[in-house]
Amino acid sequence: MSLRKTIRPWRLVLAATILLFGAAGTAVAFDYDYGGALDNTTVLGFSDMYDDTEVDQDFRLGAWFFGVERFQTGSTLEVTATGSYSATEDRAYVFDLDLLRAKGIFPGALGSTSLLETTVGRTGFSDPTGLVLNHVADGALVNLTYPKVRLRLGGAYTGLLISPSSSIRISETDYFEQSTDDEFFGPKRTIALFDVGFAGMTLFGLAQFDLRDEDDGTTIDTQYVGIDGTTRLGRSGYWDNFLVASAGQSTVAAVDNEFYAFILGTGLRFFLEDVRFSRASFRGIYASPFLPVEDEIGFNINEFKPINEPTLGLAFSPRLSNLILTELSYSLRPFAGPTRHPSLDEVETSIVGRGYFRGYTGDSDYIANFDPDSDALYLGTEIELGVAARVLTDLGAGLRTAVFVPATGSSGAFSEERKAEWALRFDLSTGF
Amino acid sequence: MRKIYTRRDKVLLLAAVCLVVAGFAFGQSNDIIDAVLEENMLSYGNAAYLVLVASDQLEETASPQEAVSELEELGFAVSGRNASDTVNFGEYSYLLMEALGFPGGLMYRLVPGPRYAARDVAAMRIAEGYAMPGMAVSGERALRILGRALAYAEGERL
Repeated sequence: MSLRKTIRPWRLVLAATILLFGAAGTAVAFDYDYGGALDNTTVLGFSDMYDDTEVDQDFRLGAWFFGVERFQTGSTLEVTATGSYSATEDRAYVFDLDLLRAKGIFPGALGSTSLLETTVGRTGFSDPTGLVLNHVADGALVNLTYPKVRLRLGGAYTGLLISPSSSIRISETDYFEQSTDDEFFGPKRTIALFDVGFAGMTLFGLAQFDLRDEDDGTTIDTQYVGIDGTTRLGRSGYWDNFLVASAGQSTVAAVDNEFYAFILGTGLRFFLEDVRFSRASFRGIYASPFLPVEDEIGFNINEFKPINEPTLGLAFSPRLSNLILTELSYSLRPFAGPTRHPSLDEVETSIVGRGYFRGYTGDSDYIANFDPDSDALYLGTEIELGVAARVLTDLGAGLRTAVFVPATGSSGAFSEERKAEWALRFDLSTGF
Repeated sequence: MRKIYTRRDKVLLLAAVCLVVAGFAFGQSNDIIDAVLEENMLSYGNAAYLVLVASDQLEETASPQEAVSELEELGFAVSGRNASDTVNFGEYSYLLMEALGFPGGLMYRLVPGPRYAARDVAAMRIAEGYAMPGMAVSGERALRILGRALAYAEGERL
């Protein structure tokens, strides 16, 4: 009898649940709350390149439940469920489960100074940089924290996420499925992650494995190792640095390939509470392109492939691949004086400038209107202005506008056919 | 099991909620503060007393029973409650919101009551930790919340 037949999946789930939550002890109180949420996001896009104004509207009606069981030992068990019905211009789909998780918090479970946190269900998974993976998935996370060291271990499955909600996109097959309505669920992949944090830095490992058959198209497995660190600069400054190296194995038309890529970045952040809660930051990110360096190091460097695509800009948001991003931002709360303004205290204005460059002159075929004869790396500049406010405790609104000016001519990577793009985004959210 | 507070514990706690204590420093109020600190579940009478004295709508020499009567006159009493009954977090938040005149969020303005009062008290960061309408609130936590609410009312950021 095979092991797979002997160990039933439900027994594994039960055993994991007992292992994760069994040590809590006797319950002393259970409390809960529930409610609803209403969110609307409208994005308008304008450009001479477009036939008409592009309109993307997402209307979301959600419901949530939160319950907490507290135990005599000081442990707690939290249950969170969040679901929503979403209607968009492209696709209206049935109720989606945004979160469904149970989280146990066990102070002192593994030593008097320890804090053990276990989470199972649909929850958020991210790497320390937030650039390789930042997405919900179905799985389990274990966090163990001591005063000087943090450990985290997790595993997840992404094949139960509804396709429009899934931005787990790595292979061309993934992107093709995203553009069609043929697949109800997103790409079927498993994710494993581990990280250890100490002394202001985190070492981490992350891997995803494509569970689909080769017959379904391109399959890609990728693994990532990285280091992420933050150094304090004076009273209100932080210097962030990270480096992530990745390896991958792809199968395209029954041909196996291996590839290697990397991403690195640096950034400075300053927070000045006394100057109307000013925040100023700079960051630079380099995501590897294809670099033919086999003669020098024994293998070529390929385009970096994150597990899900981070959103980088508003009017222009390229994939984090073959890209150099420089970003300068500043925000403040103009009405926030020494004491709290009764109604306008949390109005925040922001300005962001982004410079985009490609890392190598090879074309990225998902971006239109490259100049095939150009060796320039400069892609263009985006300027974004925004204002956001929590109008009432349960009513938030935001307005952002951005323009992307592509680099054309002798110094730019784009042809003259690429025109400036404008975007206007309005967000409104409330709860009940 | 009843918590046993030493004089030092009381001094530390009272220092933490000094804005409250400034109005409760003598006589009758001192006895009531002692009683509040010993309550694992805050009583309605003491809740009424705390929020009304803190908002200068009741003399500190009044009793919790008189505070309940005053609440009814002011129009934001929790219906069907005696002074010795307990209040939950949502009900205490509602008393606090009304007594201190916090306008609340959109839903609270439409449907004022414990449910949305609890949400607003949490959203304004007046309450720390879990903040669900039906949960029990101890006397000690009630005093801490009151202290933060008074600080918020005076324009402090929490």
